[in-house]
Amino acid sequence: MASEGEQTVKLVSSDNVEIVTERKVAERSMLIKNMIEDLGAPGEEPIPIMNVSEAVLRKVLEWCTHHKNDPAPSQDDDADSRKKTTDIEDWDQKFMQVDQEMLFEIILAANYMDIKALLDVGCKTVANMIKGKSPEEIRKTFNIQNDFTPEEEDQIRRENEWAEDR
Amino acid sequence: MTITDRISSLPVELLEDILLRVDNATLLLSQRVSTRFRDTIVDSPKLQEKLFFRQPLHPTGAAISNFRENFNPLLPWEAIVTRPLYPLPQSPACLPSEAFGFGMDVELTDVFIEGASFENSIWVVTVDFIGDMCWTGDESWRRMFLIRESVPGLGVLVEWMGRNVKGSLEEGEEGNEEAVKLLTLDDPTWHSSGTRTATLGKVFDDAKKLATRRGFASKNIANQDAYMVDGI
Repeated sequence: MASEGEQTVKLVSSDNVEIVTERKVAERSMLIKNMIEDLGAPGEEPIPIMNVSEAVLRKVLEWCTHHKNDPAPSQDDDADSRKKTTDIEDWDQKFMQVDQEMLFEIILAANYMDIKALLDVGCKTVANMIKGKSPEEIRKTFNIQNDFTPEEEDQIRRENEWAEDR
Repeated sequence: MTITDRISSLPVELLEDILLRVDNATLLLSQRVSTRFRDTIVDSPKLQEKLFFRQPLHPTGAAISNFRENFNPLLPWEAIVTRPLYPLPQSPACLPSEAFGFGMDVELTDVFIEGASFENSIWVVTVDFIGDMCWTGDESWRRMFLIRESVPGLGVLVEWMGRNVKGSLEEGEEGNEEAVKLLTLDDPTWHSSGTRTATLGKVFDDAKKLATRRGFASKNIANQDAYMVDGI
């Protein structure tokens, strides 16, 4: 019998492209892991990944391949302590050097496919793009429309002016 | 190429997850980015807690390792003084107290308590008013807590130009009565505003009221002798 690591699974992207990958890689996604367990016969039936397009799925699997031997997160993994740091390891940092469109697609896919560590890296990457920026700079970075009335905006500015220029 | 605004259409829990990793100063100011940002920050208990606008629902206790994170990093802490026995990380980054009109210290009291340890020692916050700033009254720091509830045995000691206005303590754990007596002066004002429940606005207002009632105004700062308080 083949060991688990050598088994493959078939995934189908939202745009109907079949991708064959190592089971161990695919199982970085808790969504896929649970589906495989439910289906019982891995490798035979293709697994639909409904919300993720081929390009994004390939990118996500690239991350999963690099991290396939990472230890599984422990149950008591302190969510808060992870949030305190925005350090990202070198490989992940390079991996995240994509355009914003792809960056947010990866975050959404990681969320949908339930890959906590990847979601973590994605959120950290965006947080690092926000850190230290003024509201104007944040708007510019993400092309966010300022939808406040001048009065509303002025009030928020007055309330928080004391924390500016730090 | 124009960037499509993707961040604003993220599900709210993902935007929250991102903002939880942003530093407090940027986070506070980012409420002005858009209504989406503001609403996410205002409606999220976790983000409100991060910004010290609300106390944690389930205090986790103050382990030495995260002690520092229990102090609101946006407030003008001048020093966190501890016994050499308990080396703590550097004080949080802070605004210079001149910009605020007051500064704050945190100190482990030298009141000796039998069996005192880091966990049950009495920490005192000293709010040192050094001037009279013209605050309009709607500044967001007024709604902020000084310290997370999980810090043990904290009390407030207010000073104005280095003079004690009033001392008080949170209800101490058993064995702390002696210290409570030593640090609590007769004015009841401060009993109602321990650091665990008081926002900085309340500390600020109470201290000013007390100072005014005792005939102390910024105009006669020089006349410090008129402002002696018995007891400490």
